[in-house]
Amino acid sequence: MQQPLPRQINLLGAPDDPNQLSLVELADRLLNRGVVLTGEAMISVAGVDLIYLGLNLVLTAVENLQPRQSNEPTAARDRRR
Amino acid sequence: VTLLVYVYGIATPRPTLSVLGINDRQVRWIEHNGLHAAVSDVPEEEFSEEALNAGISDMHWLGPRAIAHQKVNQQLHERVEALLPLAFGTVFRDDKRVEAMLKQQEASLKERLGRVRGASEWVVTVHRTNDPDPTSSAAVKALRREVGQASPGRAHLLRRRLAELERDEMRRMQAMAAEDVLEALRSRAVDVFVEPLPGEAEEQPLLRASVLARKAHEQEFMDFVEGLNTSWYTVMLTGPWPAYRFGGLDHAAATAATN
Repeated sequence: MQQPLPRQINLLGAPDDPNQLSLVELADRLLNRGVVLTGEAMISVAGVDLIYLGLNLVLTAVENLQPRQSNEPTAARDRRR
Repeated sequence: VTLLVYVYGIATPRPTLSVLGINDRQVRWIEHNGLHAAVSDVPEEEFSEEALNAGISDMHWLGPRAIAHQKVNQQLHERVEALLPLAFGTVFRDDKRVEAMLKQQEASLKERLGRVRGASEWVVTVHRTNDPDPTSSAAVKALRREVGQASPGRAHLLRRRLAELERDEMRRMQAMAAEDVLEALRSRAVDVFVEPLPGEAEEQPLLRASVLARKAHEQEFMDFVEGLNTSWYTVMLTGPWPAYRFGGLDHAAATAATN
């Protein structure tokens, strides 16, 4: 059964932290989702919906990636546990 | 090395914050009339249109840069009254063009900043964990009784109808679950946006939605969502995100038109 607990974004947590946000979720939110200043920016990202396309490929790649460490204490929020 | 200007987001007012962005470059500010764009320099060889579009399908390239993008926006989101986080990969040729964009879109940017002021974005996903139990439906109960009383031949036919009826009832319960969760979310949220579901995912969620909720009532919101779980579906929550979805919503049509 899936973890029913609400999760918060915690990019700076340890890789085995259950609250660690997956890169797939992150990429899904960042690409296609935000404000795109089309016409004004010189570059726009091609529409790639990563969460639905090539999900397995992406998940495999994610395992090798770890977020950089940081001294910013407030970014590592985890009020849940 | 030719440098381009990468824009993370637009904030008001300007936060007092020192933060590193993509490739550990210092984030700096470009201002126009109370609008503050958080930017850093990136090399053209990585962020030219061609390189960028190749890069985003390579998780080894995208991963650290997407995390840097999110970290900048997350820290701004925690500190400023209002933030419009931009989509990954918004790049300008130079500072002057960023300033011109702030000037040209001032009214629209301020309107959108007002909409997400003091609010965070959450992603709610509803997954089925068990089959819903259709036996409580009146129609299913009636047909079951009929099967019990029927002759063997007729009972065989009725059983097939019963199986169909149960499948329909389960589908109806699943559709209602999405509606129930949505209605509950709407009662607590500033805004709710229903996300499209993946067409051919192995495990199709019942619902995916972006929810805009007040920062001041974050814990209550989390507890409320946790309370929406039932015996046969589970409600997952990620957040609080900067308002990637809601910051850009009114531009969806414009974006579609130019793509």
